[in-house]
Amino acid sequence: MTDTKYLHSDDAFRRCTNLARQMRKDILYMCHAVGPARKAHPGPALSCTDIVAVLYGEIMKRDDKDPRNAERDRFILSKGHAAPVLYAALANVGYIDKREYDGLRTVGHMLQGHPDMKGTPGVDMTSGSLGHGLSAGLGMALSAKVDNKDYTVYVILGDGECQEGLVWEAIMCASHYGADNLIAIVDSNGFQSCASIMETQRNNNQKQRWEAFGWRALEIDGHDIGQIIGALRTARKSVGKPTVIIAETVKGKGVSFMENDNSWHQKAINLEQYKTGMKEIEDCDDA
Amino acid sequence: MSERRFTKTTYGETLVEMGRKDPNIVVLEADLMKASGSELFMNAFPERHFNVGIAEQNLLAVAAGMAAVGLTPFASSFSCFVSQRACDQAMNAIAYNAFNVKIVGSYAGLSTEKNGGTHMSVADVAIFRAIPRFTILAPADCVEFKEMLRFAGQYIGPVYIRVPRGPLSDLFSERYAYEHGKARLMSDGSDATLITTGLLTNEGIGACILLAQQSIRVRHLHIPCIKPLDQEAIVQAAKDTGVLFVAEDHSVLGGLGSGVTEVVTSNYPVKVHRFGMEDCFGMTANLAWLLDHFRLSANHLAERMKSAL
Repeated sequence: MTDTKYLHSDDAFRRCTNLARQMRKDILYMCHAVGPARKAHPGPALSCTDIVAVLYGEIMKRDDKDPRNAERDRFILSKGHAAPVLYAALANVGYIDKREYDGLRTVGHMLQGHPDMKGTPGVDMTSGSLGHGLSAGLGMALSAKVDNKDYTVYVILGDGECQEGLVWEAIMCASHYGADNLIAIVDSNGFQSCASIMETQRNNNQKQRWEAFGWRALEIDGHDIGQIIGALRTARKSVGKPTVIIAETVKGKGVSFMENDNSWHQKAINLEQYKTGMKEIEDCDDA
Repeated sequence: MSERRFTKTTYGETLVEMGRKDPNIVVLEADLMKASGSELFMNAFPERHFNVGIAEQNLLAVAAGMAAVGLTPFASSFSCFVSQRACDQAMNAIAYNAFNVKIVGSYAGLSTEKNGGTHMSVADVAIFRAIPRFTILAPADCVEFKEMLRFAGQYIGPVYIRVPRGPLSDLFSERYAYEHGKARLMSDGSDATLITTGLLTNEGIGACILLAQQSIRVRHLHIPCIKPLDQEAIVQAAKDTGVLFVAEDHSVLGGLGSGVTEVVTSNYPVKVHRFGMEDCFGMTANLAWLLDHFRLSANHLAERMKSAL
């Protein structure tokens, strides 16, 4: 089983930056390839691409050959509508074939509109109905202790998703049980489906709220690969307390005409937009 | 005089017995371990018992996560809350993924008595019938409840068990064997069929005796498994007796009565009379008063059946 150990900071940084770049291209491809009738969610997928790239490229304990290895770390994309980012990660680590991209949101194809663990290798938990992921992740984390296994569970939530009451039930419970092998990441891009967070929820002090419930909270720039790696490694060392990483992100990050434009929550990408976006991503010189 | 026992004792004891043999069994509660009886399991296996607090949605979603990694969770709360509050988790976290979660809905129907209308599950069967992949079991006594729990522990897939609070009289002997998906013939006849489940089976037994005294011979079918329904037995009863009566402590909309109606209308249409909560709420009272008020006691069932025939 491959142990994606933190070998050398520059290597990890470069590897994750390149992976994130490739994943952005794949997300754009998927969202464009499926045509105008099958609108995916490019904005939400792009805001957490760097985080997912670091998880799959550097942090998570995975088995390159077996996506169901019982000892593996688990990942739950609780904001399931960002499915293209998960599919891009799974394809780039070899769990699914990139030819599946053309079948996104298409009947009879593996890549459903929201991640479905029954049909897609590498999906650890079905998502789509917002708010379930942290609870399910907590269930997995608690099970590790019951089974005497040593794995960590990573859950990415949307900031809008945190309006679901169930999320706070899970936060309270995880804190009570000291689930230190549960790491939550809030993709805080400031928007939700039909409005901004501020327009919906005036008081959005994430850090204080999670801390009030007994979690350790770290705040980072969700597009700074170095900060993401550092925060996740810090979170992994937590003992007796679960950790949340509140990542400040940009919806649609990486494609200038999508950034902070909430119309890209769910929209098809036409050919012109696709070409412009791909060029921007390729030209981006982060590494 | 048959023994009357509380279902909570059966729940706790059976879980402990099963937990000794199967290390994958874990038990979850939403602050009702004393009410459900799982406190016994909590004492025996504290590392495998989890109280998520008064948070039913979390109860089911955490159970889903545990099932995802291979454990067999038994998650319990009052049947009204576990079905109503956590419906989406039952649907999208559990059933959608075909997870091996066993939901035990306690204090079902009228059995919650003095807790009153807010606590009476009149829609839990309707809710779970409409969720794909769920098996629905409803014991009539503690003997049956124990066997259903043992069955649930072996069966792979989502299960909902609707359990009355008790105390319940034993209707079945210790030799009882649960047969999945099968109705149980309590007594036979050809004038009509009475189909009952849960608490109403005991009332049904009384009703059939009363009717027999008036030379009305009723076939009485007890339904321990509401989903999947024993279509064969129901259709045969329709053919043999020509009229069906269904009685349950649940709404007449969407529960066992509706399930039976669905079966006969598409196979052998006969009149189906549905007895239950008539699209209304319950209220605080003891069980005897409630059964009388909603016309579901043995006397009322007999009277209503006789006047319909």
